[in-house]
Parts: sequence; C-alpha cells; structure tokens
Amino acid sequence: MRLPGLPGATAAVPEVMSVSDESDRSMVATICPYCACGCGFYLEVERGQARRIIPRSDHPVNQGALCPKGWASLEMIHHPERLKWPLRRTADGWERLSWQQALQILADNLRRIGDTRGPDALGFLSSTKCTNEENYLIQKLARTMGCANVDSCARLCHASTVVGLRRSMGSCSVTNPLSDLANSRCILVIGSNFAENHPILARWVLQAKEAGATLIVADPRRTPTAWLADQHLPLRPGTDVALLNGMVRHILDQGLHDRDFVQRRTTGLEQLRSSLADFSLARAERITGVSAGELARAARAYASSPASAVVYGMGVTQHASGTAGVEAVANLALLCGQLGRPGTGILPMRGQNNVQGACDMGAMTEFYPGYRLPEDPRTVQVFGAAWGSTCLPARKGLTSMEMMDAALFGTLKAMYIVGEDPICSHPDQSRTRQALQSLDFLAVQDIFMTETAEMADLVLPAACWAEKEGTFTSAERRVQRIYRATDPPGEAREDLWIVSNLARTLGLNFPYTDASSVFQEICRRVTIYKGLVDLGDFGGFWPCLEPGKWNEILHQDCFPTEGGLARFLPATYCPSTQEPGADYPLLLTTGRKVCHFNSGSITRRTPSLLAISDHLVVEMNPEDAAVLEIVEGDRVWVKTVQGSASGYAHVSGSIPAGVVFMPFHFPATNRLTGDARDPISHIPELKAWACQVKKEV
Amino acid sequence: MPVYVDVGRCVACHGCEMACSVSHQGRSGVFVQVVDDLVGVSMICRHCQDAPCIRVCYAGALQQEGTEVVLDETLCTGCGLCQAACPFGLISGGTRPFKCDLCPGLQTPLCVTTCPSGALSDGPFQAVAGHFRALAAQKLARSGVRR
Repeated sequence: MRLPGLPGATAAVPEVMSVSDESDRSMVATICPYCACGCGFYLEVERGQARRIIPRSDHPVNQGALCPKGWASLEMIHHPERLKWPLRRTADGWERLSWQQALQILADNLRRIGDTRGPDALGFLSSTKCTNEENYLIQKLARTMGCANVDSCARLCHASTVVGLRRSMGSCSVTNPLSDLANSRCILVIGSNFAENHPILARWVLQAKEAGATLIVADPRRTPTAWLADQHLPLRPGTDVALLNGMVRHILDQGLHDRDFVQRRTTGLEQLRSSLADFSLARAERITGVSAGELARAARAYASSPASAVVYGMGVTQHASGTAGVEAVANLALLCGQLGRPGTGILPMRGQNNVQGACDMGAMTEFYPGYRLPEDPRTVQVFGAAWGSTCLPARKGLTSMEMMDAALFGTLKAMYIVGEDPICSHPDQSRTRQALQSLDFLAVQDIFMTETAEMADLVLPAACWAEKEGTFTSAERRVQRIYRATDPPGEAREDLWIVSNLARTLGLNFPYTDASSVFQEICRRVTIYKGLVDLGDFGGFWPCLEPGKWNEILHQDCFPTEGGLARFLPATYCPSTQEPGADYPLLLTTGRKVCHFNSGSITRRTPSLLAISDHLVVEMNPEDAAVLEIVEGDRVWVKTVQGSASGYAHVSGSIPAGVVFMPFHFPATNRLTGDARDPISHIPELKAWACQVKKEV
Repeated sequence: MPVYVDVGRCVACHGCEMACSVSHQGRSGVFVQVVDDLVGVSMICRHCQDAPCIRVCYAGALQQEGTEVVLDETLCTGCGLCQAACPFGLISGGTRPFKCDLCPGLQTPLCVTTCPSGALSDGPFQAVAGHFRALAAQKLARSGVRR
C-alpha cells in the first residue's frame, strides 16, 4: 500500500484517494473536521471501522502535523452516543420513527406553518460543519420555500468580518494563504489565540520569526500565542477599536503610511484622518491600558516592515462594535499598503472547518450563493431561473440572532436547525431557551443529542464528516474534497440525502443524486467557484474563473469593488456598555481552550480530550482571587445581570487583574452573556460582560 | 537518540501527547507540562546513556540498544523500580510500565512530525546542537545588521 504523504512512502500515487490492500484495509484521504485550517490526513479503515489517523506529510497546510483535536476526531465517528434513528418527542419520551415518517412530519409542519403564517414564520439554520454542497441545498430549500430566514453560526463568529471587509475592500475572506505567513516580516495578531485554536498557524508564524520577523500579539490574556510574541499588548477587553485607531493615527502623524498605495488604490483618507482628530496615542493609552510607547513601537514595526500581516480572531469580531473593529483592521492594512504581496494581508481566523464555505454558499441571510445580494434584481432572476422557482425572496431575512427575537415575539413559528447548538453557542441562554420553547415546531438535525436537540419535537440523525462526500472550503479559501470512509451508524444519513428527500417530500425540484452533481451546479452558479471543476489532491483556491488558475493572494492589482478601489471607513470607538461597577466589579471575557471546540457537543464526548480538560474553568488573577479568598480548584459562582454559572477556579498570572476568563465549550458559560449585539452585522457581544465571582460555600 | 523540545516554540497544544497515545494503544510516553501557565515543556524519555532505570531493573527488561533505552514488556515484573528511578518521571503506567519507544517502524517519531509549531526534533546530539547553534548565530547576525 503506497500513498503520497505517508511516512516512509517512496512513490507518489497521483489522483489516488483510496487504496485497498489484501487485508481489507483502505486509506481514505480527508480533511480535519475541526477548525478552518484545512489540515489533511488519511483515515485508515478496516472492515468498515475507521481505525487510525495518518497525517499527510505532503499536505501543503499541515505538512504531516496535527493538533490534539485532529487526532481525537476519530473518537466521534464510532461514538456510542451517536444518533442512530429519527426520533419524535411524545409524552412518554422519544419515539423511534422511520425516515419516511420523519420526513413527512417535518414537511407537513413546515408546509402547514408556511401556508398559514407565511414563509417568514419559518427559520433555517444551516451548518458550518456541513459540506458546501449541503449548505447550498439548505439555503436553496429555504429560499425556494419563499423564506429569507436562513443563517448559520457564521453569525456568531465572523459576521462582522463578512460585513466589514466587504464594505472596505469588497471581499470578505483571508487575503493570503496561511503558509504565506512564513514570508512576513512583521505579524500583528489581535484578538486571536491561534496557538490554541489554530495550532498549525504557529508553524508558519515561527518560520517567519526564525527568519527575523517581529511578532506582536494584542490580547488581554497572556495566552500561548502571546508566549511566542516579541511584543505583547495586554489591552482591556473591548478596546480593540481604540488600540487600532491609536496606531492608525500615530502612523498618519509620523508619516509612516504608504502614500503611493493610498493614492493609487484607496479612497476616503481625509474622512479617516478627520475621524481620528481626537484619537491621540495618549487617549488610546487611557482607553486600552497599553502604554503610548508600546503602541507607537507596534505601529512603527507594522508600518515600516517590508511585509506585514494582520491575524485577527474573535477578540475583534465578537463585540457590539465588531464591524468597527474589522474596519479598523482594514484601515491599518490599507494605510500601510500591506496587502496584495507575499507576507502581507489580513487573515481573519475562521473557526469552523467549513464556515468560509457556508458563507460562500449563501448560508447567511444577507447573501445568495457567491455573495450576491438579494436586493439586486439580477440575483433573484438568475437563481429563479436556475432553480425553477418564482417565489425567491428578494430581500434579506432574519439573522440567527433575530430569529430568536422573532420566536419570542411569536412571529417565527418553526425552525429547522442543522448541525448547530444555539443553546450552548448563542448568548443569553435562558432567553434562547425561551425562544426555542415558544416555537410551534422545532426540528434539529445533528450527530449527537445536543442541548438544543433535547428541546426539539423532531430529531434527525446525520452522518458525520467521515461518512460523506463533498467539499470543504478552509479559511484560506482552499476548496478541498472529502471522501466517504465509513458508513453512518444505524439509520443516520448524510445531510445532503436528508435535505434532498425533505425537499422532494415538499414537492420541490431537487434533482440531485450525489455531492458531485450539486458541486457541478455550484461551479455553474457561483462565479468565484466557476473554474474549480477539478480539485486534485489539495484542492484549489477561489476566486477561480478558469480551471487551474487562481490567485492565492488577493488584491494584487485591484479590489473587487466598483472602481477597484478600497475605502477607508472611519471606525468609531464605542465604550462597552459593560463597565464593571459596585455590584459587578469584574469583567468576564469568553474564549476557547486548546482541547475543546466551540459548543463542545463533540469534544465533551471525546474521552481523550476530556482526559486533558474535563471541567469548566474560571480563570482569574491571583490579586482578585486573594480578595475573594479563592484558591486554585475552588468551586466558584460567576454572576452577571443575565444569570449565574458555576465552575472551578484557575488562579493564574496569565490573566490581568479585574478580568475573568471562561471558555464557552461548556453550556454554563452562555448563561452569563447577554443580548447586546453589533447593529450592522448582528454579531453578539461575547467578550466583555461585567460580572461578580463568589466562592461556593 | 531522544527527542528534543524547543520550549520557545512549544505552544502547549498537547498534540504530541495525543499522537503518542493514539499510536500506542492509549498510553502516552510524552507529557506536556505547562509551567506557570506559560511555558510548555514536552517531557519525553531522554534515553540516557547511563540510564538509572536500566541499573535498577533486576529483570533485565530495560536494556541499552545503541543510543536507545528499550523496554521489553515480556520480561517486566511490574515492580515499579524503574518509575521511581527515572529522574524525569518519564516511565509511567504503574505495574504495566510504558515509556517512549521512539516509534519503531517510523523514520521520525510521531510526536516530532505531529508538532504543529515544530518544537520537537530528533537526531544525533551533534545535529540537534548544530541546528540550535545555527539559529542562535542567525539571531546574532541580525542584531549586527544596521537597519
């Protein structure tokens, strides 16, 4: 058995994705189902069971490396708690159904509520863990039913990126490949703890550092990412816009900007300049808590290096001013001309393996596939003709945050949630719970009985990534194929099968036989995917208009805007509404830990990850802990105006005094966060909430 | 030849632990110790040239083979003396001891290839020292270049 990229492999076997030998073993190439880096590995399958993971040493993203979550992905496939049959809630508990019954119930309810209340009474949440093909079909299902309310968990992580970067430079993705970070001479990381959440990035960042690059990390906590940094800027939570504005103003004052780039490729510098009239470094220092000297040093390093990149994450996006944060990042990069060349760029680090693809496929209510605006008459015309539908909504519907509002108001009556767990992932859990309870009908499709599925009227068992075919689009816009390695457990089915059959039960035109027939349609209808007909071993990048031809680096000559210029957008700093006070003296910020993933529905069921970390920690500074007489390991209660939750104290000098950190992988954390959100992108504020901590007595 | 860790590169992701345990029936010979919530140190058998574990093993289950310290589980009595003798605490498993076997059959131990940040390396002492020497020299050279 010889396969490319195996340790000890001697000959490359081109185009071979699955090889069997005499012992009934086969190797199936796949892409990691966790974060959006898109690392490649093989699954070794023996007698229908996935036995082993072998990282691909020839894969351009991970080069044979793999993080602990990647290794642990095997444990979800044959997990005993996998959902195996369609289930209906009854007074006596869950009742097992046949697929025909389940699809009929789902179709009847969607049809009944759609007919009596109108299609706007329906809400669809698509899954960023599903393939591009499945996301395309889910949004098509919603829209061909006349419903504009289709969204995904991209709302919770990078909605502000999609909106903000599009407004300033016409495209809303990573501009340069992840591995291109190795060519950077200065890397500014803001609000991203990639060392824990996208560990493979450390490889490329450290290569750059080894070649002499400066690494600057802005994060309230001294994270493992900050450990790698030459300069750590420990800003107060929620002050990213002030930090970036201060740096931009300093660069303008000192004349460190790239005048030629600004003149040739941008508009709006004067508006930006006047918007920063009162944003001196001294003011930035007062707001952020980072000294003016440190800010000036970081600004100079970024502006004056021959190739600087910005990596940012949810520390920038998950704020009530998330869009302003993203626009401030864009301003900095545009001002210094750090775009369109190797080693430069803006890299928003996406969380889910296919969140980029879900956005590309129109699983965000603002966009039809390929980021076409619903308000543009040509969009509805094109997709109406393609799908044979006359009732496509020519407007934006409700975001996932607004769907919860509408459910509470009683205008949204039914939801079909695919592969998402809003109870854990949405802010203000008691409100989310109330919202879902007030629905007439809730259907959840997932691989496990999640906290949200527990509330459903109908639960549909889905196949996991190793049990289906399709494509994932990683954070760097790399579209890669996955292959079916094993059969789903029990009667679980691929989401593609479920959605197609549901659509047919509803009498809609879904003539798809498999993932490749859907992908062919995607290549025809989504311009940026047009040339991606042959994905080869390691996929291809979008935008790709002709087979085999793509630019790994965006914005080299012009921006995809009208006129080809990028715009400076004044980013207004809004102080957080959550200032700590007498009742709630500490500031709670939420985030991630290396051995868990998002809502935790998978990793909290993975024994080898639980062995490393199995409980909710509440990280706090030794000073705060001493005042509250809390020591390491104490059980503590954290309380905010929204609710309270308990966890175990971890007393650490890595977190500044006055700040408390909790990962959101455990359901308790989002009992504490509230319903503030960004007015433009509707991304919730998840990073700064006033709280109090008490030791449990 | 043991595996070396560059603590400046380790991001304490536990990838090496997981890779080791997945490839050794759930037992890991690598332990990522996080010191002061800051520094990740991957602790892996040093394959000592004058190994205390070999000296205390009266059953001959631990043997020096070239540059490696090899454990033969079939000879092991489970007395636990090796675990007490290891100055680094890198033999684990109680009555069923386990330690780094440098992944027989693989060119490079899995912990080394799996490390996302490239913090682990293996090879002869001289090669590893040479690598670190070259890095340090580059750093010194850069500090002397006028910008």
